Amino acid sequence: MNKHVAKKIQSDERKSKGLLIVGIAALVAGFFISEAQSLLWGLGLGLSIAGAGTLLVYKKAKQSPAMQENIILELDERNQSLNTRAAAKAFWLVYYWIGFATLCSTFDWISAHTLLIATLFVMPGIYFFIAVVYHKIG
Amino acid sequence: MKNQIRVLRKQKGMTQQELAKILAVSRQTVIAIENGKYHPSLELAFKISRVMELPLEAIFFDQEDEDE
Repeated sequence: MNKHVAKKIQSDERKSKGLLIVGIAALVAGFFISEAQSLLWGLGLGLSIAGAGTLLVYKKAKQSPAMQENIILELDERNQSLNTRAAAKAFWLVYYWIGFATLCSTFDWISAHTLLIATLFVMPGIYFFIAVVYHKIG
Repeated sequence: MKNQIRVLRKQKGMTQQELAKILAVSRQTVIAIENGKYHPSLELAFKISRVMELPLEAIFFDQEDEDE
């Protein structure tokens, strides 16, 4: 296996184990903190599934040359450079979005809660949109 | 910044896909470098130099140097 791929798998496995542990901790904490039970269980379930799922994917990747090829493409320096440029652009667009939404919130056009939920969707949406545009135009 | 990669690759009888595999990058990256749309990192430039068996300055050159 390519040493860069092995390093990436090792690093991502560590992150996934971290997610799994935090997820399980949140699930257990949900039993003891009744005020935030639904939040902790939701968070715990989401993180545990994401962590366990990613661990399974990487376990399979160790034996699959096709999946290792995809990891090589993911590590491709031009792809990483384009993704970094997209992230930088998305940061400033989201910054303006938060400024605009805060203004709306001041005039009671939108609640802070709705604004935060919308931001959770808008942020990755903008990032992926810009990343796709950058990958298309090079 | 311009480069001679396309010419050198063809002299070596390599396809873009083959060169991409040796360099551990995507074919799109090779295309972008050949077209001058993407400037490779120093690490990748040295890899290209090793594959082409030529010094860096024989592969990459500044547009202004060419004009002179």
